[in-house]
Amino acid sequence: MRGISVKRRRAMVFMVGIGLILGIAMPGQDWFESVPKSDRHGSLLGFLGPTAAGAQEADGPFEGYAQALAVLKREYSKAVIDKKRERELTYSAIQGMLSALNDPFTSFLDPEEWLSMQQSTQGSFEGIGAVLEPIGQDVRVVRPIPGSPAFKAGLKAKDVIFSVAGEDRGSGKVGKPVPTLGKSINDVVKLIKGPKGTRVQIAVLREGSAKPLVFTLTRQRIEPPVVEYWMEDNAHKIGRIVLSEFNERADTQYDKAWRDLRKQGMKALIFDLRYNPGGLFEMAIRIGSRFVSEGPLVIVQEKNGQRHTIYSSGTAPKIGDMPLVVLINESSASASEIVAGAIKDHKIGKLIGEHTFGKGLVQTLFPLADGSALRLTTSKYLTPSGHDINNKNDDEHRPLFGTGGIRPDIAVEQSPEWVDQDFQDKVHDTQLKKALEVLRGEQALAARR
Amino acid sequence: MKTVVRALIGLAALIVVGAGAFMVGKSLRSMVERRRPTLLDMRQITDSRPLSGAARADSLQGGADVNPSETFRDVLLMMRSEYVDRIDDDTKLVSGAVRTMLYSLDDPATRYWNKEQYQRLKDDTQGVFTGIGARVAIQKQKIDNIDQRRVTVVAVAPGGPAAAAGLRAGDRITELDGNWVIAYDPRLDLNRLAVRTMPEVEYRKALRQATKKLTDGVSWPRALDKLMAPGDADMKLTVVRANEPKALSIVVKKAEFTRPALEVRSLPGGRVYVRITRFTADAPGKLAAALKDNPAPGGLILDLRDNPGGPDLPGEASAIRSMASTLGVLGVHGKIGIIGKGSSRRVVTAAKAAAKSSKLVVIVNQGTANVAEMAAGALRAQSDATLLGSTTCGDSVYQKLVPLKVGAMTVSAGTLMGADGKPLPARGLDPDIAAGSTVIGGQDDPMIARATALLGGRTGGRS
Repeated sequence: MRGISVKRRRAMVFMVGIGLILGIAMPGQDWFESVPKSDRHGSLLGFLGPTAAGAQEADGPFEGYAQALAVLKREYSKAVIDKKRERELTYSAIQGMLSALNDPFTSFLDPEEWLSMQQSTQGSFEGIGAVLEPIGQDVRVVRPIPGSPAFKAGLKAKDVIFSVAGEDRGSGKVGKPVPTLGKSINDVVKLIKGPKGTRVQIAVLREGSAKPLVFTLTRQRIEPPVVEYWMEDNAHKIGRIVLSEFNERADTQYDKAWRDLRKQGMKALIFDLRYNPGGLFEMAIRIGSRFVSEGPLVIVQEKNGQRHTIYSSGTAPKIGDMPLVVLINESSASASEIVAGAIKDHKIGKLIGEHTFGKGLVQTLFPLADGSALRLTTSKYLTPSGHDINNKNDDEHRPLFGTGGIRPDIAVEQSPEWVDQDFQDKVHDTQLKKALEVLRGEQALAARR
Repeated sequence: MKTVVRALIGLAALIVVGAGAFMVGKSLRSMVERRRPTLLDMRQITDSRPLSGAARADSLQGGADVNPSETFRDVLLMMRSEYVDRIDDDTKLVSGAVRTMLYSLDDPATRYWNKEQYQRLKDDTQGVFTGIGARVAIQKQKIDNIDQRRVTVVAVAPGGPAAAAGLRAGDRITELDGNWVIAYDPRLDLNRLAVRTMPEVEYRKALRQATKKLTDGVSWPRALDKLMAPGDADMKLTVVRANEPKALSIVVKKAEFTRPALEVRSLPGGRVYVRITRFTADAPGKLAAALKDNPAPGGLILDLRDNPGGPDLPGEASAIRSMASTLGVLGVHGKIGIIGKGSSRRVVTAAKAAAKSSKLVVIVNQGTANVAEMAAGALRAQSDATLLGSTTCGDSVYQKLVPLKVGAMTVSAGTLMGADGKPLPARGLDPDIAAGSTVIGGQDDPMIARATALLGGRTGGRS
């Protein structure tokens, strides 16, 4: 080794906050003949620019992110780090930072996800009214929403989207069909959606037809029902209300269902919360108040550990002393667990089905300036009796399922022959059968008295 | 952006067609000004559905003028003031942010090294090995039209646990302690099935199985970490090897051990055998000293088998600097170099020969990778060396390491060039004389005998 040589041009890289200078101490021979221009200047200083001032930015995670991004901009050779990519990288960094919290319910929503989230809790949007899912490299219809353009035109569950031709705003003409094989569900949705009054032509593959079937639809404002209801057992007047989500329309739709079934002479109710993943916290309180007419509904524990109890608002229509079964399963979560937990604690009805998911956390959505949003866990909740709904975690922060959640009064395992979420299947649904059995039994008991 | 990260997140979410114009009411700015936001302004939700985590920034319009770093800072501020639990480990936040950001580039050479990993990397370049004692890399390959990541053994450290257990360069590790090393999103397998006509129940079952395979699997960064982490535990590897019809099960007992990166041995007839397993900082000096004592009039055998090359670290431990100096010692005075960002060229000029070399045979194998391949190529082109062995790895990434305040990152900062001024070929360098052996080094190594014969075949040294 011939000691340190600093002849010729050298690479000097300044790191904000470390003051580390690389590239001066080079062993042996000079081996840089030329150095790319960008290496001679500390581009990090330039990058930070106006935001570099102030104490907040000296925050460790920010510094780490900014430093790594600056290195990529200066050194990365496989792609140019332009503004668009910088944004993508930043979103990934935010997701990574949030994932360090080990909280699966805290997340970052990019502008597109934030928009679709708002639509799903708001409960209405403009489109054709079909629920889609990805399947292999295709996208297919899960179900058309009753009353929607998709429903009226005759799109059916399991129709595979083949191509889409949309009308541009104001043109009055449907464009060229775009094949959808291999496209992501987001891209297909983008093709289909559009302002109300415009047309879209959709070709689908359907089992039993050799050629794609073509439908032309006019987009409308869609308000997908969040409540489905019917008289499950007309002889015993047992009604059934299926609530699929606690969105902004949940309470009005529940009330309508309740009144309709009462008009039909309902004497007992099956309230189906299976596969209900939750929704708006406020809506859990409103729906819960229909069942628990007075007293505590849920206990909220804030950031500082302080607890406060939220009481029933006692809003009509009240269930009163009508026999009630609540169906729950392991996909019933959060808002569903608040309602089911309160019903259980107050002994207002019987819980039948499976041990629930176990999510006792409230997230608050914070919209951000660039159109994205942060979904952050801000409080925990407990059932009125103080039972922690949230699952405990193991040492690696993985939830220990079964440590939280709500236990059913009568545990009934679902038949493997029941297709998930097929609420109309009355033949294989062992949990529904049990609910009917229990309610009929109660009626028989009441009749004898 | 098809990243594994994205693939890991969530089940196929149902998406409702349509879009409504919804004005984002509150800007974060006004909230921050008010110090503590009124929670009533915000929506409180309890939804348990996992969201797709992919950053789909391509549809951005409204907030395009917002500097991304401001968004990051805003998120950090909200987290600090509103998160339900205390956040007391900033280090985890930094590593989470940087790791995921670099991971999203889907480039195995560009990644984050936390403090412990960085220390191990430095030890590794000093000849101290921990873990299984093998260098493992991620190779991308398209199989069945699916981009797959293959965790592949690049080089096995001689005398280490992996060598003792019989692991070889080129072996592909498919399972770690019985857990599948995630090579791709197994839900993509559903594409190959006739999903269009598949009965619903069967499709759901296949989807569930694929999802389980994914959630039970080990991601490649975790796999690398487990293989490298210190300790003395047994690790059970499932290994797929070329020409072996069945996957092998190999148990490696982890251990820490030190091995000199340079081994010099005098052979009869004035020949010298030099094995370089790492281009460490002291390798060139030691080589020069050894050749001073014995200038190898009968010819030199340079063994670069299982030399993985390595990143360009600041300071002493740079593989490429060590390699350049080594070439200088061996008398290479031409230019080899790197094509950097924006096709700028940094040219490595190895200076005047310390020892004018005699005849030279370079032994290479599949484990000869990165700057080691560069060295082999330069020696063949400029010192008339004969390459003996098997085709080299074909890793031409110029990987640069940059220390960060917490940990470090490596970045693909260019392409290593061959002596012809072109990037090193992706399929590796073909040897002049093809031969192979599973025994490497030691008295019984048939390749040394082969090389000796090659040196003997031509009389007299080059001058």
